[in-house]
Amino acid sequence: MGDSHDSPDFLQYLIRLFYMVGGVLVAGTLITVLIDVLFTFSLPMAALIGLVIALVKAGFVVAIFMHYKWDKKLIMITWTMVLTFIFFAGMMGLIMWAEGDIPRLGRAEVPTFWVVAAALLGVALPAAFTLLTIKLLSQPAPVEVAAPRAKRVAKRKKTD
Amino acid sequence: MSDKAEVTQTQEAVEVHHGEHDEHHAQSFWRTYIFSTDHKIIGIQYGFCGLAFLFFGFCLVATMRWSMAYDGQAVPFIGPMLEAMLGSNVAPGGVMSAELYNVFGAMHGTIMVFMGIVPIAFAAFGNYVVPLQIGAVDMAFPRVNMASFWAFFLGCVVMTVSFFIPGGAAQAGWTSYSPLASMIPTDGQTYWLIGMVLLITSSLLGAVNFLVTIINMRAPGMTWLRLPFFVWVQFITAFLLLLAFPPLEAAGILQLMDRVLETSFFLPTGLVVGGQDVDVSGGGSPLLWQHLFWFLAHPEVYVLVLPGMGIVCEVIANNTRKPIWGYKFLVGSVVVLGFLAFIVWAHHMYMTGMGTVISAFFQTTTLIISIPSVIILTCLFISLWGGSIRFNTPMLFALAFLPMFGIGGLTGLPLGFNFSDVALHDSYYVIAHFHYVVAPGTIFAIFAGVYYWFPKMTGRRMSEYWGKVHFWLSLIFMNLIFLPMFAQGMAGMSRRMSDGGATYSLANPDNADITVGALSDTIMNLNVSISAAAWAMLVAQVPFIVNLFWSVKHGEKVESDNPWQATTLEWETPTPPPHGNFAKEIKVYRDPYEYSVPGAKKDFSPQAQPAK
Amino acid sequence: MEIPYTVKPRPDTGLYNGKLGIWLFLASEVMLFGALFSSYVLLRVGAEDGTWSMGLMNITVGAGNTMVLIASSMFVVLAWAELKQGNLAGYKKWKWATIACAVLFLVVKWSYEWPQKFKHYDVWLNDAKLLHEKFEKGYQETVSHAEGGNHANDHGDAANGDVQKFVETFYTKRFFKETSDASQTAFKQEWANGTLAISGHINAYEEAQINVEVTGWNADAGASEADADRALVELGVSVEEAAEDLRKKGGLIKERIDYDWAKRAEYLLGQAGFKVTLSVAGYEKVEAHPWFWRTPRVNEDIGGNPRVRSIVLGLDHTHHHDEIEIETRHISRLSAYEPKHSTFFGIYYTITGLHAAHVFGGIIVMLYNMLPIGLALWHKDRERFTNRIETFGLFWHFVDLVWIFLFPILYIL
Repeated sequence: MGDSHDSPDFLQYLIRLFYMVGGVLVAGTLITVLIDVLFTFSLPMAALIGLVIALVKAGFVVAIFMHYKWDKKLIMITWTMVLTFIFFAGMMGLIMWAEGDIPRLGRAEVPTFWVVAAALLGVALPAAFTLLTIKLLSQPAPVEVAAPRAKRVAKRKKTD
Repeated sequence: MSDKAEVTQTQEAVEVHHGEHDEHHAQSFWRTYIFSTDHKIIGIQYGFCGLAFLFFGFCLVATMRWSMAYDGQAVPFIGPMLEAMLGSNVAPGGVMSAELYNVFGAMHGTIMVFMGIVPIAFAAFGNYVVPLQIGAVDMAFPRVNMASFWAFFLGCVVMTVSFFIPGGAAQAGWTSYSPLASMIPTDGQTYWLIGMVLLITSSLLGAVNFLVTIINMRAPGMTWLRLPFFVWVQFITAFLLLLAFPPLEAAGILQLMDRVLETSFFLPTGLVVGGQDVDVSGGGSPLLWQHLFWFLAHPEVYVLVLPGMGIVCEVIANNTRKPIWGYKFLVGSVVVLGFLAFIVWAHHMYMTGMGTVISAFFQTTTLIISIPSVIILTCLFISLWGGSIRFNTPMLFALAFLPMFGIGGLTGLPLGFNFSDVALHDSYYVIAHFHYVVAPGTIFAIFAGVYYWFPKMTGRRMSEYWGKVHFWLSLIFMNLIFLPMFAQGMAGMSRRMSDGGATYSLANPDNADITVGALSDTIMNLNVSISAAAWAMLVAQVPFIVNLFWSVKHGEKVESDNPWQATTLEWETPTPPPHGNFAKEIKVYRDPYEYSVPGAKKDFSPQAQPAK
Repeated sequence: MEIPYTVKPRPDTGLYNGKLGIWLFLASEVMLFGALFSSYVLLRVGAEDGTWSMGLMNITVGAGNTMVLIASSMFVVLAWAELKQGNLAGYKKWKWATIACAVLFLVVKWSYEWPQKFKHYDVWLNDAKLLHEKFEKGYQETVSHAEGGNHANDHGDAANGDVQKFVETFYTKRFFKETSDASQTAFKQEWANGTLAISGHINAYEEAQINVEVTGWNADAGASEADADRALVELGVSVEEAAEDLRKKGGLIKERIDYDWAKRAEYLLGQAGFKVTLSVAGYEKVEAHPWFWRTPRVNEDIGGNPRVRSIVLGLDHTHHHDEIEIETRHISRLSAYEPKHSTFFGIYYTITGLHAAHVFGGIIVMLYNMLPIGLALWHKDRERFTNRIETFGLFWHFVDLVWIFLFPILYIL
């Protein structure tokens, strides 16, 4: 890859890290199983614990095995990951919300606050995203300065 | 990662050209034209396949329109053919049965969207033009590109073959809603699902290719804000495809499991079909299919429209001889549009019993998403102001795109509101709305692109005269087809009725005592005029088809590599571009639409021309 | 013509093409598995109490497979590290280890986990009283074994003297994992209605032996007399004269043959224009452990008699998987633990199946990169080969990531 990671010392350090993370993953799995065997929790609680442990394991895999800790500066990867997670969360969240928000007889009228909040969310998210994207993608031109931006001054009739 | 001084981009570009001297022994016909990895050949392959299916899809609906205008009468010419090919139980005596109507309807939608517009607007034009416009030698992954085309081709084969199996092709609409799609006993739906998996795979591979190419293979000096707008739209379109298609692939797999392995992902408990309890476990949710389907299908409609906007922008800039107004607005709008496209899908599901809060969310995002589209259209309109407009064929189509897309977009607003959608949902109003954006919208943009880039691909021009004939006829007939449909929809005519609404019309003696809601004779008679316009539209494509093929060999030869005097990089190549595209090293010094620069010698300054 | 930035990263993005490409592809895979996870959550939340069998999963096997995949993840990145050091032999060692782990994962899943389920059945009876009786028998066996040894608590409340309590224990473990109001309500209702399933392995069954008889021949059916006679001869009638005789007067063609043979004969004779009647001559007991049986298989009517008259079920949760006999006329539904069984199994097989397909695909790619055809690139351009392995490693880690989430969700929760 031709980057600072070529030095043998760094590679040895990486290899040690790999073994460590392997151990962490094994430990995480054992902890998950033990917690399940030894304790009983309600479903939401069990889900929270299980998913937190899974997220920690996933974090190590992404950061170390997938090299993201050193690739964080690579905007394209970070941006893609962030975008994907936003849409994944959006897909899951909005589907669950739609399934949950079904009018039922006897259900009290939904307070206006939630309606407004939902609507504002729909404005804020894309605005934030767009600003971030434009900021990320603004790069200086590595080649010479361009000619003055063309503004239409003279009306010249050109026949085709 | 940042101290990489030793490899500059200039050096890298030079290395590219040294590499060119290595291999290049002549390749066989098969490797050059059929199993090619060259993005231009692949683009043309997609283009021809796509155009063929676009025409086929149109023929399907032309046949359906007979059934709508003259229900119960044998279809002329085609009727006997249908009976011979598909059997007497679907086309008895050459009359279209309701089942056949449904088959044609479902396949018309599927073919036009997935085998017509997406391959042409995204894959064909994208593959051919994008690497040229960014100054690259090819796509980032040429073999993946080839795989993507052949996956697409296989998908098309599966879809086509499905017409001829017992029971015919899919008939549950292009939306394939469960439980209907899961329960139809014949195999058409299964073929549809398999075909879709192949087509989706093709699009995913293509999307990855486009994104890596645009991000990583821009020529030196081609910054993001110097990209032609066409490349921007392809970039966003590729992202839409990348992230939105997989949920439909997942849903397709689930529906396949429902059909083949008799699972119940989308089948509710207690389902009764034909008076009998269905032998499945139940416990599934039909709404789940709708969510997963529309999660793709809404971004899909932006996939259909955005490349068209990109083509129109290129053609307008070129033929007004002035820069596009509001380039930054265009870029910002298309990025916002891309993001918002993912969070509006449930506006296709207003009638499923959603609560007020979630409905408010989707209504808001739907209305907000109209803003960037309006901004894009406005920028393009303003770009015309003060231009020295050349009214050649591509420009005529591009100009027509603007009001046609405008009509389509504006008529979408009542559909975006929950309360008005109640009346208009699943009516002909919806059909008119989406056809206006796609048919006189994107298809006109595609025509513009064909006439515009034809000289670069072949070194010859298409006939201007016949191009204009094609344009005027198409424009008139398109509007004659779709404008009356708004009236039909508002009068209450439902979609997908094989008898054209005869069951609900006032003329039907069963409806004699109905005072409100029956379809009047005027509305019903529109069916005939719409159908006639559709058949005339079909005939109006003949000049285009003949022009296209005839001009390849006999069109007027172009006098230079840049016959339209355009600024973007694709016109810097030899004509037609060879393997490797550019004869010299490409560096970019200018913005994409530098027409009529004050003080310049010519009225256009190509991007690759150094600043003095 | 060479594509730039295939090996050397581009300065402003810092990426070479393959790395960017694979991350983008992984993004699409996140959406793919994400849609399936969303479907899982929706189906689970929407499932009626007592229909979600998550307690049937074998956590030990699942955890074992998780460890195998974690190991493979570590090995694949160690293989890349060896390549960075220019050590092809080291790479090969770790890569073989990765492949071995991947193959082990699939073997455990496809030759143990899944087949175990395909042979395992839920049987629903159409009579609540009969259901209670069947459970009683199994319970009695368990109690007698429990009293005889130290296994008192192995099978729930075996020593408690209450068959209902006994069944409730394993019902709860299967559908709720712990006792709650919901579990008790659901169980009581199902016990009272008799809609509870008995689960176990089919050890034997009585299958019909079928007589095939022709009762007439339709001359207008499209087959000639010669064709019809030939059909009969092909099915074993000895001479042409006898065939002609049968055609004219009707009669028994085949006696006491098995179902598949009988159905085939029925089809062929039907094509030849005959009117065919199938009837059951008697039942034969077969000792076998069938896979994928469904309700129609046991209930199918042949001339007023069922295709399978009774099954012998080795019960779960009893000490020696004690056997009970169930007559199929009492069965309202029969299902193996296959996708069709319930939405739980449907989504389980789909999501693990798709994951397994990705593991399988990974194995193919790894083999390609180990054989001379793939290694040719190492000799041509080391850095490019190393990048290719890095790219594959990213894919492999994603496959591991999916399993890291699948394991707790499917096996633990």
